[in-house]
Amino acid sequence: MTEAPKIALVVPTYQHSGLVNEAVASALEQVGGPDYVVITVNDGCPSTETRAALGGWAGLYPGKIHALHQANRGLSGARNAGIAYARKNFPALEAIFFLDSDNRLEPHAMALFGKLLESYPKGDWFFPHFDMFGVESTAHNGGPYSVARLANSNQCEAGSLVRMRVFDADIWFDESMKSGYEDWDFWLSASKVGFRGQRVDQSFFRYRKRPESMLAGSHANDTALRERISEKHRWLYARDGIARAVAEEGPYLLVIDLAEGTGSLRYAPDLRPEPLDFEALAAFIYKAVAQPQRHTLPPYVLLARGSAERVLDDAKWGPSYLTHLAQAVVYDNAASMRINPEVEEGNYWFTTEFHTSDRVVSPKLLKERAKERFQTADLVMLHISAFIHMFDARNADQAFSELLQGLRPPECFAYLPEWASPEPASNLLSLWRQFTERMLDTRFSNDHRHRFRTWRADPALVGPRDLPAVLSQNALGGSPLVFERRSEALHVGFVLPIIKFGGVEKCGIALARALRAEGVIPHLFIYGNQNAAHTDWLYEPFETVHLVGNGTLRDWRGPRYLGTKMAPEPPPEIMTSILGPLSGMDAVINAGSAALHHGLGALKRKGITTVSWEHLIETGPYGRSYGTPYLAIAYEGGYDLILTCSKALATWMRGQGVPGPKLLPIPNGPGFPMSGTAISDAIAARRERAPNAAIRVGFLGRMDRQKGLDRYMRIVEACRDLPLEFSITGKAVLDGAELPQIPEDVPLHPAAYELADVEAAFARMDILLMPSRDEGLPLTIMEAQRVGVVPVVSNVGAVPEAIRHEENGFIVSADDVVAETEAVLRRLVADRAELARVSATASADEDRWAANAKAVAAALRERRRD
Amino acid sequence: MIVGARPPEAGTLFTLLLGEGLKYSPELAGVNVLPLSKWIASAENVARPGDPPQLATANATIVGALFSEADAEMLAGHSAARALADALQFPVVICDEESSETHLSREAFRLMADHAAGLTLEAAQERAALALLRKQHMEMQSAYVQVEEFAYHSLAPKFTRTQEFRNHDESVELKAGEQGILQRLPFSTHSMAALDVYLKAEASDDGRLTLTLKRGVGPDFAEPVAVSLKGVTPGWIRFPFVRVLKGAPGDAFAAISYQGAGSVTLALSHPSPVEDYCVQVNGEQRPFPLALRGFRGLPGAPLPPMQMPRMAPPPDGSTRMVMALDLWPIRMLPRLHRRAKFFGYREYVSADYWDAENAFMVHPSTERPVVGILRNVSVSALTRVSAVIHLANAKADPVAFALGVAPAGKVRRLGQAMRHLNPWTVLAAGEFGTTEQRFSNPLGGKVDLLLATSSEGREANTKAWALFRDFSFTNGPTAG
Repeated sequence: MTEAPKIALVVPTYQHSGLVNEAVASALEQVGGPDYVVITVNDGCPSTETRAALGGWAGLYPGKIHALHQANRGLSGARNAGIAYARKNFPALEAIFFLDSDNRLEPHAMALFGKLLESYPKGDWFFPHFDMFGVESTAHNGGPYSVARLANSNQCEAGSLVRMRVFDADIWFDESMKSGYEDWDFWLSASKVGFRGQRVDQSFFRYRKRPESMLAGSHANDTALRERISEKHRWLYARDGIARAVAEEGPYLLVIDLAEGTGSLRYAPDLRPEPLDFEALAAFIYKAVAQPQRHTLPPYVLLARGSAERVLDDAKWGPSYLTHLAQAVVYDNAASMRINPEVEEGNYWFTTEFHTSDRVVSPKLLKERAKERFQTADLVMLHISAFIHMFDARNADQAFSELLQGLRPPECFAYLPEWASPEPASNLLSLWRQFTERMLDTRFSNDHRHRFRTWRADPALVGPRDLPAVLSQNALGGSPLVFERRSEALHVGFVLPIIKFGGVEKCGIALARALRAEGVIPHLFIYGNQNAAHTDWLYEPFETVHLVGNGTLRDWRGPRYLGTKMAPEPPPEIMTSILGPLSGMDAVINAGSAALHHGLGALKRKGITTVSWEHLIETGPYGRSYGTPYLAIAYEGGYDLILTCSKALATWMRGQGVPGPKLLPIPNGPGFPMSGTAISDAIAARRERAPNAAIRVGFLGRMDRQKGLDRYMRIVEACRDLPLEFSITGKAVLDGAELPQIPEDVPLHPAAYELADVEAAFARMDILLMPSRDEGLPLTIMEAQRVGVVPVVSNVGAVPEAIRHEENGFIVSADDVVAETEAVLRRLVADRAELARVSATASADEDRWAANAKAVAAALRERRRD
Repeated sequence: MIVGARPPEAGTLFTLLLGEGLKYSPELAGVNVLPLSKWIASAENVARPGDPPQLATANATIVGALFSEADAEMLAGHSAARALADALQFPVVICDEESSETHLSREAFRLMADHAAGLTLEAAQERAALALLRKQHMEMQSAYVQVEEFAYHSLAPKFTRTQEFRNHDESVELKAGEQGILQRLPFSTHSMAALDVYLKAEASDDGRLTLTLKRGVGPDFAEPVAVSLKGVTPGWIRFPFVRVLKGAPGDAFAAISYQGAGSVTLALSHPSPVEDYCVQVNGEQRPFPLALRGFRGLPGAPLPPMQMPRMAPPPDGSTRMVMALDLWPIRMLPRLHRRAKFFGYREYVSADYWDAENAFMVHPSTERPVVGILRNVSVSALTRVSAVIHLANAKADPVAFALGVAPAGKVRRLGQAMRHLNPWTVLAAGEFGTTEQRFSNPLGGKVDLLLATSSEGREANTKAWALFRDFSFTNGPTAG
């Protein structure tokens, strides 16, 4: 009788009445090691042979071998039965080993188990190599335990030794999984609560491989089972769970300073460096060359000249630069980046290149182009496989020849103020070549390095070399954005097609700023335009900013939905480039990107809440309405929530069939930030003006027909006899109509973009005229009201939601704008007290964005899919 | 062999379930009679915590059950117990509640008899299967023995070289009494025949190296192998195992220690970026592996004595095996006197060492013999030398082979070699054979071996892969 065994071997059996005897015999042949018991479990096998066999063993070895018989529960149920019996009857157990009835243990296994339990106290379970008999093969178990790689393939054979603390934490086998992968599910369940496996680097267990077991894992079953695993383990598969696991398990990036020959391992999310001198770098690289599927490798390698890697240190833009390079490497082995020190014409310029395989170009020309790219680059990113393969070559010529074959490295751009490119003589390609030659001459580099390969074959699993594929497969085919996730805060991506100074952008920025106060972290994604305004306040509220500039993303030549053109579906390499970086968001707010509609299903399957934000229904020349709200209706099934800039638009969308609970109106507020002090100062300055000073009437906005500049000029002429000072602030936009003549006594101020300029624009007016023909809910109204400027606005769009007539502004009829505006002006000239009253009321209105942010944050939290 | 089995205690192996609805109970010796309700109550609940009960029996063989109708209904109404009963498939006999003891005993006995009959039949089937397995095993063993004899006696054990760590600049010194070296092997233990290490400098005459193939945890793979260093000059020295290792592939460590006066210096290999392969010397890790090379053979085959060609073996008349690798390098003899204008052959010829085959390939010519020469082999009283020859390609024309021995340095040209090459053995494509030379006057000191092939008279020499495999040397007073 085994009194207080430390280890239990659980041997479930069903339909293996012959082979189970080998398993049990192998269990009894143990030499050395701690006391153990064998618990055989007959899982309701219909064959009497099984009962007789197990009963016979138990009879021969009472107390050592236990035979449990139960109704059929499946393999998971049989293992659970063994666990339950073991826990109840042997409280001193330290671990359980699962020995399937057609497998065998080697005689020293128990001695090894005792040693493992003692030597690796942190190991929660110990998994073997893949040593197979029958169909003979020996493969290693794939390097250190990795949750990230476990997400893609099962590294741990079921024949593993599991500590009791795992079962004590209520991690058992899922009995509903009867078609396979129940062990994979078990390891994932254990990993979820923090348990970790430990690989065993010695054989002790033999797995019987028979041809029919190969057939059992058919592709169709595999796909369904994987989907089931993915659904069950949302903690890992949703959003960027796997990318975070990759980041937690090892370095994310190897950066090499080509000139110095030194390197650094960078750890996500903050990319903090761990420096390596040349010797250490060479040892690290050659270890990977020798055994690429056994040693932890970063998924990417970045070659830098000078201190170009500094671009990664920018907290806001650095993740974007890294993502661009990583995205390029999804399809190609290498990508280059050039750093620009300055913006051009006040804009960042980004043209994002994509992998192209359709054009036939001669290999020689391809090579030359690739070389040119590398010569002018400041940074080159390489797929880790391509990089380590270079050091398998005999010399640098061979290394580069193989790398450049067929390579079309996309080019990316970054900005670094005061970046001084190194001398052309030390171009990146020549530095790279020198570094490669130095590496190939190092003491590790000789044909001897091939002898350091393990004699075991690489397993048919995802290994360390495959991390880039792991990342992209789980980031909707693209590359995830690497950022720091803070505790329970929601991370929300705002997606815009352009970032200049339009109303839509300003709304996004204002809401993002207000969401911060609600504990939500906003990120900005600009998908479409190839340049973006270089104005800091536009980006200030966002944690990160990522731009993908490509004309395809602004293509509106798709089919029409109720008269509004949709975007055609972009090619896969472009689609994945915009979806990948979004994969880590908890929610995505689409404010105008037509291409993104095609990715809604993929985002939702990742557990990401999808939101559309609608602003304006436009009117065509013949009076037909069109605009992005029609597209929101077209894709309504793909959205969890639709925000509207006004209640009127929400009502309209409801009328179009969008369910009420899906709509959330968040009326616009001011489009640029002002501190409380600045607001008070502006209001005070206005009030301190001389009571009989001329009333200043301003026009602020695009100088075009929609904004009614022509009407403004007619109002100016009609009010010539009044003590009014008119001015215009804006930029001319050619819209087919002639620009009206602007008299010299009406000052024309340039469009205001910087915060100081915008504040100054409102500071020089007391009344804001908006004689527009079309509007949504213009931000300018609230911006004016905030500092006590009285708006007089034509009754279009949702203007009545911002103005309470004669209280905080004036609404004039859309049919008679000029005459009614003139009447209002005459009235206010005559009654300055009324002007002051309306001004005071306007400036007392609540901060809309704060209220909007509360509502949006609550709606997102309610819809969060975990 | 399974040890520790013991017969069960009386009355513990079989169980009969008895329904409480029966008034009497059977008299049974040697059988555990268990009331139904007690069976249900004592069944193990093996469900996950929080799940509905799942029952299992532990360590009991239920031969059957005697129930009343009421008992059967009660069991049917208990879902977990019913599921277990269905899975166990024990026979149930429904008896009248008033059934007498005798009747119940008779029914119980019938159940036992049926169970015993079933077991007897199953045991008979097992014995039949075992008998067949034994027969097949014996046939396989016999066939294996025949293969072994053929391979061993006719062809010599075929060795292939596995991975190696080549000797380089660094070295390690071992002294007697120290812990020694521990080196992880870069190849599996399966069919391992020998392990070479590289001696950097001569050791003292009484020096000895001992190799043990160790497992990480668990018993050693084989008995320790000791090699005497007396008279051994620097170079590779071999630890041959008594038998080629059998068993499943495993991970092994070579533990090497020194016994004797002074010390021994062994070569290390190139630096290893992989820590696994770094050698441990007296418990301390060095960033280099030990220089070593491994050989595989036929699993389980005994190894013959081997001769290292750097050392003349004792003239004791024993026949020792010499691997082709140990005789390397091979050169091809030029045809004519060095002043002659034309040295070469019109067609392709060569004398090479084929690593994968552990054999020399002397590619013949249709013009005249081609001779490869292996220089400076140490012999003491060589009376016989032989080699296994093989025409490896199935599409080759027949090739003639010959093996010759000449005093070292005396043969420089083909013409000089020819007088030492007799007899010739002709092989057809794919054939194995042997070729040998015997010497009535034993040769001592250093000799050169001559390996000759010829396709004279044939139309072409294509695919003529003429191999000389393992060599046997007999040094001593008795020839053969």
